[in-house]
Amino acid sequence: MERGKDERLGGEPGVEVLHLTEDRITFMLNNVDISVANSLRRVMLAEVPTMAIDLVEVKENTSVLHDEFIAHRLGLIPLRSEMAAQFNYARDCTCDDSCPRCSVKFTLDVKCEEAHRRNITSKDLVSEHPDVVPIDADGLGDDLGGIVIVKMGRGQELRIEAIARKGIGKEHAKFNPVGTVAMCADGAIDLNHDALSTLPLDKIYEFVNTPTDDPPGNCPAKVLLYNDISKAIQVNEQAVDEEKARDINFFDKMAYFAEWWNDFNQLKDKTAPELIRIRDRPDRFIYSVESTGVMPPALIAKVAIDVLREKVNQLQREVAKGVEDAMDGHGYAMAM
Amino acid sequence: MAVSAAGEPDDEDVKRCLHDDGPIERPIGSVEDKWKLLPAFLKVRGLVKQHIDSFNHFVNVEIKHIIKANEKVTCDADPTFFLRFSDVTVGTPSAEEDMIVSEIKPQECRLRDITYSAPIIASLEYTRGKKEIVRRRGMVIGRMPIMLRSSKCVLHGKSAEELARVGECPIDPGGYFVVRGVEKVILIQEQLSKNRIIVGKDNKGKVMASVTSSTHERKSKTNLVTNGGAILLRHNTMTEDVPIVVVLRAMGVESDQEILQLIGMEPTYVEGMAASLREAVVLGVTTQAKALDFISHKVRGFSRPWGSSMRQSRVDEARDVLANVVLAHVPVVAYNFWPKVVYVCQMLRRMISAQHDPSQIDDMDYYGNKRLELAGQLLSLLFEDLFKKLCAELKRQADAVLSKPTRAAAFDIAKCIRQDTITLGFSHAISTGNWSVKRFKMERSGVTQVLSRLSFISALGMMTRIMSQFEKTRKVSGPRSLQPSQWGMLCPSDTPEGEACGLVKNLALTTHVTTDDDEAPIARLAMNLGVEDVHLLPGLDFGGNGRCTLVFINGMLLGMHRDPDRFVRSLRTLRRCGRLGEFVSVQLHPTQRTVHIAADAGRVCRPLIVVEDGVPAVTPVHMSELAEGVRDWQDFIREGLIEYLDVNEENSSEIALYERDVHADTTHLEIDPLTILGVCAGLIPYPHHNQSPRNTYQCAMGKQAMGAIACNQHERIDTILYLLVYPHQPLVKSRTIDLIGFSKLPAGHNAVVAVMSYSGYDIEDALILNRASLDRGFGRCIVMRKYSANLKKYANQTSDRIVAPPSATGAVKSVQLQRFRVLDADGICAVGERLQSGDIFVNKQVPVNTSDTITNTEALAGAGAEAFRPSPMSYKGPPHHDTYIDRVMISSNENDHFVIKIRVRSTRSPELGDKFSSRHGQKGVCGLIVGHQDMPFNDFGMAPDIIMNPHGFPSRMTVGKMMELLAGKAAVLDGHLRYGTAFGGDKVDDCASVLVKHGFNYAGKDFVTSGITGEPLAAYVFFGPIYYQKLKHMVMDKMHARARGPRAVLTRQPTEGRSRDGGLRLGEMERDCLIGYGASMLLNERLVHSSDGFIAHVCQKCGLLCHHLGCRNCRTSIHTQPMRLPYACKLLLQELQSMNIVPRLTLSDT
Repeated sequence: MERGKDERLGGEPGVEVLHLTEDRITFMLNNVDISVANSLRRVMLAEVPTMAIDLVEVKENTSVLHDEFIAHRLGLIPLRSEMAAQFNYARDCTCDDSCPRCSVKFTLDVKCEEAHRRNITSKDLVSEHPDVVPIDADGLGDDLGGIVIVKMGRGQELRIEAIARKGIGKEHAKFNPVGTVAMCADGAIDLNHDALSTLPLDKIYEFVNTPTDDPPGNCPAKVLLYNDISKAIQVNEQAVDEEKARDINFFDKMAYFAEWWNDFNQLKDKTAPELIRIRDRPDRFIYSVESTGVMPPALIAKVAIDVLREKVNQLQREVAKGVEDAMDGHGYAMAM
Repeated sequence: MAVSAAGEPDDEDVKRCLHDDGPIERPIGSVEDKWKLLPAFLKVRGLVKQHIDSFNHFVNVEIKHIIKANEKVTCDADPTFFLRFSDVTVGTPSAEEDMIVSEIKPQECRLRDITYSAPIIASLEYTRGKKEIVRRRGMVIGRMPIMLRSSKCVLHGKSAEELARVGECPIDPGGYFVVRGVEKVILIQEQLSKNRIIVGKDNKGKVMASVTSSTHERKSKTNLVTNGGAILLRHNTMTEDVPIVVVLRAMGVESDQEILQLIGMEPTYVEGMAASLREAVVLGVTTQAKALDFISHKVRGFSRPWGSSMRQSRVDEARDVLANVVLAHVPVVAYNFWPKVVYVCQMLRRMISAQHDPSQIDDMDYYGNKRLELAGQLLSLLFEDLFKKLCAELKRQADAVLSKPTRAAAFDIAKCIRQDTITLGFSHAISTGNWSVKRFKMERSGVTQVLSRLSFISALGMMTRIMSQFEKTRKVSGPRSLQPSQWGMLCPSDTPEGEACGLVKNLALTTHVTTDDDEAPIARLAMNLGVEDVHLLPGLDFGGNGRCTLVFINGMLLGMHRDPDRFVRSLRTLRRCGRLGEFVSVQLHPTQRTVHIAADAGRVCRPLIVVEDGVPAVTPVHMSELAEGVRDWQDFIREGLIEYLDVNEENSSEIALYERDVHADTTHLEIDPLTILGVCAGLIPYPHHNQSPRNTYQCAMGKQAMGAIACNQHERIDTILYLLVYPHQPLVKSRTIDLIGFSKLPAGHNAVVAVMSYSGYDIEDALILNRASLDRGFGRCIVMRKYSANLKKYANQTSDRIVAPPSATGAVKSVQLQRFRVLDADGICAVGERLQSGDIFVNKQVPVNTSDTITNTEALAGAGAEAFRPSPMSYKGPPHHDTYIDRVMISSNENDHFVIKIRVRSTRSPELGDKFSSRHGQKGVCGLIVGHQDMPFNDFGMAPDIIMNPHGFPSRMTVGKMMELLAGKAAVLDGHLRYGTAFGGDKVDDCASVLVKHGFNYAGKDFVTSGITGEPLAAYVFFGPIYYQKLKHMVMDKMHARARGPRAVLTRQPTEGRSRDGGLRLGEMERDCLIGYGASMLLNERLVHSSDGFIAHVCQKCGLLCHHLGCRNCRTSIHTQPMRLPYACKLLLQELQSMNIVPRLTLSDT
């Protein structure tokens, strides 16, 4: 802990992005309580608004699958939802049934003319809105690309009009923008230098330099360094950060490693001190968020925080209103 | 043997099975690879070969024998008249409609409610008029229901594509019938074997021997019983037990010495017979004539088979009884009783030796003493009876016509042949399951059952089911318990719980049931191999000290052999060479010193690898040839590398389980130990690690699991059909799953399971489900239901009709029209419409008058509204649940009635209370559905689909389930399916190392964080995929409650049952609780106010019920008092009065 800072007060909350790809973000949340950290995770899963097909009107269906079956499959097709914020929830919209403010119309009109059979995929879905479209699923599934809705034989036909609406994961899992959200507390590596110094040199080298791929007796990555000059083992903080970004369960694996070496040290003498201890940092949380493709992972995190903030704002307004109401009725109570 | 392509794994499957362990060049240590014979075996055999073989034997062979035995019909009135059936064949399945015969397909029969049957075509020869002899061919005498995939079925020999073209599922095994549109299975019936000596104990504990003789003509049971040391013959035709020596004398053996020589000269036998011999002397029966006279007084007047109307003397009758009825299966030609005498003496010998040595008593439950009766045998019994009935009818008609002196035209009997006798006899018997064969006085019910199409496994399981003849109510353990001789033949796990436990059994995977083999050539062969004919041997050879080994064929004494070992060896060698039927069994019984050759029908047998001189006959070379496809199963049989053993022969063989167990005396080697399980138990992964009853529970539950039932499931219109929307093939399979095609028609999901406690809604085996998983389709199912309407035609030319829905004209209110919403203009509902409770889907009308003939054509033509009354069919279903019309079929059935079938469909997602089960007998209901965000998650943020409480494990000991999880997790991680085959399968160590390789804990435990708090859980959680089945029991079909509702008319009490929207009964036990608690007002409310409370008026003067204005009995109104009592009580009082009992009520103030 830095000087002049009270550990109980903590610092300002902050975010540190460890790793970012097209569909995954790994970031660290600093100086927050576990309850806040978890609520962020829960919001990302359940309350980030996205678009998904919600209402399907089947005009013609001569495929082998039933209407409901196809409707369910359509609903689960991920749609690009960066624009979701611009839409109204259908229940809040001023329109009667549906309007461009709350819904996007999709049409699917295919007839299999091929000799053998044909895959109907998300690419056959035609959207009215240029930005709310099925995600680009090239390289997934079948050769045609796109997500397969139904396979059709010769002469079969599917004509569908569908409406996509805005919704949240709590309503139905199809609105969930993430595949997985992993969250765990950050850790720290504490070395018992006194105990380590008693180890013979060959064991020290083994402790530090063992191959990386085979836990538990081996260190998961080269995060420990032996300084020949100072004769001390150090933690390579940079390597730790890299490892954390690569695998948020890094400290789990370190814990196996620590357990193994501590057991080794205590093999002969039960009272011998621990060599290394992996400590939880309950004020720092690592997240790994994988997007389904409906929006960039960073946006998911950002929207989640927006949603959370809006909730707090709402709460704030409600509290203020409640206080006001209470003051009106029982003015004296507040005076006390 | 015909190779049928139906119902067995196709070529590709087999090839994959054969090849999946890498290149075939690899040297094959046959220990590991001999299981690959199984796909080859099942490819040839299919899964229900026993049914199909039996039926084929009946329609191709047996039916001709039956006709031959009953070929001639004569007439008492005209001795020159005759009718002879010279030949009979069964044609191809067809239907005749409007005089047009066309080929029919099974699927058409299912849909149209008609019978899948083929004509029985006979050739006849008969006299027409005085001199003319007419020969006719192609005469149809009736129609026979055809077993699917049998040699007469149109599906026979068709490839998968051809099957698909005729609307049939290629994986469906066949072996059942379609009668009036219903799929019916003739269950395998288990019986004690016929024509065999069985030594047992009577109810007094005394040794007795019994033989149930069965020939084409008659069945009879002959018993030898002991009474005070003497042995007596007991038979139905005798009024009393007859001393056995008297019987022997009557059969012509007059000297005591000869009797003893026949039985045995050893002191035991002599002593054993002493009392019997003495008794004969006491009775004074010393000669054949005296003996016959003695017996003639005991013989019941029995009805002779018709035809022999000659009057006989009593002695002749007694001789006939002995020759033809007692031990009927031993033929007596020209009253030469010698074979029968030898047979009786063998029975005596067995009995006497059993009296001294209890181990000689036969075990009734020993499976070698059992015979399985299959469809073919049952049908042949029925056919013979029906054919005899037909012949008797023809004779009666001939008698009636020919006895009259004058005739306008020559009598043509061919015109009198009615097809209905046989056709209706068959279809009635199969559709009701009542088998009544008059000549054997056989009355059996429940022989057939409707093929359960709940799941693919339930249909398959039904085809291997064996029903026992024992009564279910009897509290005996013997027939119910697992007999060691059932090993490998019957599945040890698959039996129901409860009253039928152990009586209903299932065949194991490779078990075959034999059909009749002609015994004459075998007997001739045996003679050539040195058997000495029984007719030529003196008595001393049978019982003397140098007694030789007796040779029996199908329980009948053939003769004697002096070197039985060589005889048996040469017979077996001939069988392995293919000179003898592959299912003929030869057994040497060393203690009885007999050789039994069996070629009869109904023996269970299974294939085993032959071992000679400690070396298995099947070598790696053979296996690689099999894998290359240059060798098939039949080649293995033909070359004697593999042979079938029945229970008896198996019992005298030394069978090694694994190749490492083979030693010098070993005669056979198992193909694979997994074959001891049947198809249902074969689905269980690692069953050898489970507590045994768990496997039994799974066998019962696998039949209730939803999934895909057949490839043609969407073309079927079944009464009720449960389909899973996204069925998975299991990650952890077994060899059996591959072999039976379960991976193509699976029933379940690979659910990710976390074994942990959550929320308390998971106690008592309840499961927690992840809402997100349900949203994505986990456990989602389609329920399809059939509604059908028949348009009947009545005798008076009227018929039901369907009319268009009323149009909205002034008289009809739009509210009333609401019910006709879904109807098209033709009065039948439209496909795709959404149904609500109360909607009419067929607007049918029934004529008011169906009995009187309407002569007035005007009335017929102008049949307006008054001639018909509406009889609409309306839908009744749960409210707020979407149901749609899926399909409408309009057709006509055999009786030319219109059939309208409507299939409705609804999709259901799992809800609280729906039942799920893993494959280890671990069932549970859904206790709580939790949002994704509240579910615990692992390192990767993955939440489980199901949370299962760990308390399910310790007491159930389903270790197999844990192993399934590990193997499944390994399968997911490296993308290769695992095998959990019984007594084999992937090893836990191998799976654990895959887990470790992918950075997981070797024990399958994951680090899990609570979704509610975000804190890590204090323990590692066992986490991974387990195959879960959704069972058919769903809350939606069962939930029921009512506040008020309909009441029964008579008692005014609430109706009973969910279907009638009934009340929930407060029964005796609940009543007792309330009484005990003293809650009398509550009791009064429940039993009177909320039920059938009624204000009755009672006259205080006479104490009888009366009108409220006054008592008619006392003619006064001042004493009437109102009183509240149950209406049922009032009813009782009045009913008593109507029976002249006066119930008087005495009222007093409280």
